[in-house]
Formats: sequence, structure tokens, C-alpha cells
Amino acid sequence: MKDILILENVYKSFNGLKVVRNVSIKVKEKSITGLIGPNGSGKTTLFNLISGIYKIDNGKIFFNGERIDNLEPYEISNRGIIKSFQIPRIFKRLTILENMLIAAKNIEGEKILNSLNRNNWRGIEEENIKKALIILEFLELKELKNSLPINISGGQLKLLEIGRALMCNPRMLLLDELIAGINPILAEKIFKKIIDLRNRFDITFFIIEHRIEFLFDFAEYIFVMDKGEIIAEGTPKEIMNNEKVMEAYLGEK
Amino acid sequence: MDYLQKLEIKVINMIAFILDTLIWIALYSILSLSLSIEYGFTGIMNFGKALFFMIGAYVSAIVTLNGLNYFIGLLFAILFSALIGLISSIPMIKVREDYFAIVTLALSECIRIILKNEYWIAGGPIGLKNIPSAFPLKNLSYEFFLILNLLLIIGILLFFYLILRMIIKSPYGRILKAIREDETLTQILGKNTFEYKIQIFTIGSAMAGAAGSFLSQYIGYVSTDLFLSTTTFTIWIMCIIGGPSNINGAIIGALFMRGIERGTRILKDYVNMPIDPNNFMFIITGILMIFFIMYKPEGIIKEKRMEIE
Repeated sequence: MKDILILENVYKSFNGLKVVRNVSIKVKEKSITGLIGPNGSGKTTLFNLISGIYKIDNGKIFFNGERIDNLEPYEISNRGIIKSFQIPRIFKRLTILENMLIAAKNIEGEKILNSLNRNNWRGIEEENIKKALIILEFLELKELKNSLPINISGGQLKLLEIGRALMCNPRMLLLDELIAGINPILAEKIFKKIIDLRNRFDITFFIIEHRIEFLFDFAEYIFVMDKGEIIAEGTPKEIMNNEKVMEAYLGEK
Repeated sequence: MDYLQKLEIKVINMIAFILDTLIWIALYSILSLSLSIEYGFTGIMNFGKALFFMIGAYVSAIVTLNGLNYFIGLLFAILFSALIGLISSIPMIKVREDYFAIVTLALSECIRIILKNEYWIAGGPIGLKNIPSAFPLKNLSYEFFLILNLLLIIGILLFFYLILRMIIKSPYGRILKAIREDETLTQILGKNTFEYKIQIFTIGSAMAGAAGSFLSQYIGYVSTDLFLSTTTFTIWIMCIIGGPSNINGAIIGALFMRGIERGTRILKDYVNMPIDPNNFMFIITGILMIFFIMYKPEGIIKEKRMEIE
């Protein structure tokens, strides 16, 4: 399978502190790829660079053959890369359904002149609502559609983030600490849903996760970051037996 | 006879007083409404509202003083304030919210001071006088003049109200709310938030311009002292108390605050007050403001939520 996301010698520093150093990775299309590493190793920064929230200092990022490192976040998003956040970021004063609909591509009703006539956007809006309800049902959130995000649990917020990302018709999801703070049963359920989604919609998943046991079970390929560099990559089995990785996590022997 | 003289002669006329109050309520409703769409829906901290109010008033005054019909002046005022809003927002819009407030306030004050000191632009500190009314009829009774003006301002208010109502109910309006909640997140979901913010700032400016245009023909003169930053703050208070995230709230806020202002003014005729009614108004406003921000930040009327079966 071809590589959908390619990073070539990417550098990023904040006030002289080199957070990402010479990172080159290739993520295969329709794969579930993991990114692990100790705290402060630059994983989240790397995701922010891919989604355009930060601009890279040096290097190149390609998505689906196109260079994206000089694009604005909304342009990158429109090319199919959607990112979720370590701490779920939800529109707090909008209902669950509205949160989903924000992500939908309703090109007509989102233009100011078209918004003045309901007939211009009603059809697409109804389709989007239908789609949102199907996704919410899949994520077992349908009953909560009219409630505000403050009324749902942390695990459900994570699910809502995935659901919202799905509304964008993504080609690739960047999930930052997907199951942090979620009980193991729900966590396993979430990962099973991810595999289900990958098989149904051909979405590529790139996941940061501290609970490595889940990645070892579900991911197909894993990158390991430490101090801003990629120190190892390979299948879960290879990573498990890699001494460098164990050193980075547990300290030198 | 200018506006103040007329009002002084007719001050005992209760009908005229009420009509005049209603006109001011409608006028400030437009301004409060324009802030509501900017701040309450999109999260744009516009502290330069008085600037666009002023631009509308001056442009309309200059056009009508040159002999053109008032409605052409109104059109020019709307277009010109929208244009200034558009041009000024492009460099400002990427600035973070709180800095945006500072920048707009500074811009507003700068242009006001330039207008005040440069005589050649529009009369400097004296301003422009004898601006023709929109209804240049002879032998018009004062009450009838007020009724015509009231109809005009309600017409303008209704026009903008209906446009905003369509906007906020559409997917476009939903994105505005999303920008208010979390702009970065909205971008990550694929929306060009700058474009939306610039459009809303332009609409808000156009509305303030229309309000200014009405003011200039109604009171017959304009000077920079009408557009101090306190005008901006008054509009903010109306918007916050009425409920910033609801367009009906913006109007209720204007009604409420103008009601207090006018109410305290006539109260002194009936009640022996130990303090000056003007000061009394400021005291009430201040207490209300604190009360609302601490205990009822959503304002008198809450935001409407979308609900489906």
C-alpha cells in the first residue's frame, strides 16, 4: 500500500528549545499507526505540525503526494487530515448534534448570501443531520443529541471527537491520547470501533497513546519518539523487543 | 430650530417625550444588535463601535448637506461604514480577542480626534450643522415629525433584524457560534474563520453606520462629542444585560437601559430625589452591570439552542 503521509527531515523549535528534530516518517494508507514516547518527547507537537497549527522550521510534509506544510489549518483539514486533542476540545455551548454538524461539509449554507434563503441549504442540512445521527448511533451517543457537552462523561467526549472528525469525511485521523483516563473496557471498545471504521471507510489512523498495551494489540506499525527524535520504528513485536525503546521508557540499565 | 431647542419647548409634552424615547430605543437597538452579532455570536470584541456610528453620521450628513435625498445619504452611510469596517478588519482580525478590543478602541479614538482637530474634513470641533431632515415637509407638527422618524428607524431596525435572524438560524450562524467557542478548533474542522469574522465585522459596521445616518438627520447636527468611547461602552452594557447571544436580547437590553436613563430623568418631576437624576442613572447602571456579570452572565434572554426530535 502507498504512503499517504510523508514527513521529511522536519524540525521545530520554540525559543531555541528543539522540540522536533530531524523527524522523517512514512505512514501507510489505511493503516493503524501508533506514535509512542515518554512525556515531553514531542509527539503532540508533531501532530500540531502535521495539522498546521504550528508551522515547521525546516523540512517537508506531504499528504497524498501534495506538499502541505505551508497551508493554513483549514486548508489541511479540507484535504482530509482531522486531528483530535489530548484534552477533548468541544464547542461547549453548542449541543452534541450541533458539534457534529459544525464539522459537516455544508458548502451552500455556510456562505453568507446563501444563508439568507432557507431553500438554499435545507436539503443538505437534512442530509447532514441524518448522517450525524447515524454516526452518533454507531458511537452510542444518539440519546444525548440535544444535550450540552458538560452533561456527558470524559469517555463520551472522546467518542464525540471521533464522531465529529468522521463528519468531515476524513482520509486520515490524528488521534492524540485517544483513551487517556478511560476505563479498559470502554478503551477496548473504542479501539474495536476504530478497526471497524478503518475497514468500512478506508480511513488511516495515526494515534498517540501512552497505554502501550492497547497499541501493541491493535496497531500495525509503531513509531517511537524520544527528545524530539524518532528512535525506533517497526511492528509492535519489533518495538517490544527493542532495547532503545525500553531505555527511553524505563531509564538506562 | 434645532433638536435641543425643540425638545426644550416641548418638554412638557408627554407624547413627544415618549415618541422621542422610543426613537432612541430603536436607534440603540440597531447598535446593540450589531454588537450582538459580533460579540455574542462570533466572539469579536469590538470596542470601536462608536467609530462606525460616527462614520455613518458624518457621511450621511455630508451627502444630505450637498443637497441629495436623505435615503441616498443612508445608502452611502451604510456602504461607507461597511467599507471602512472591511478595510480596517483585514489587518486586525488575526489579533487575539483581548488585543482586538484594544486595537479597535484605539482606532476609534484616533479617528475621532483627527476629525475633531482637522477643520477642513468636517467642521472640526464645531461639527456639521443644519443637516436636512429625512422629512423636509413644511408645517409639520412636532408629533407627526416624531412619528415619521419612529417609523423610519423601526423600518431600518426591522430590516437588519430580519437579515440577522436568517443568518443565525442557518449553518452559517452555527459556524459563527463555533468561532466564538473555539476558533482554532473551527479551523481544524475546515472553516476559514478569518473570512467569517471579516464578513461579520463588515455587517456590524454597516449597521452602526445606518444608525449614525439616522441620528444625523434626526437631531440635525453632528459633532465628534456625540461619539466618545462612552457611547461604545453604553452599547456594550445594553448588549451584555439584554443577552449578547440572542438578537431579541440585544433589543431588550436597549429598551431596558434607555428606559432607566429616561425613567430617572422624569422621576425627578414626581419624586423628591436626594441625588441628581443623572448620577442616579449611573449608579443603577453600574450596580446592574456588576449584578449581571456575576450572577446572570447570559443576560436577560438566554441563547436559543437547536433541538430536534
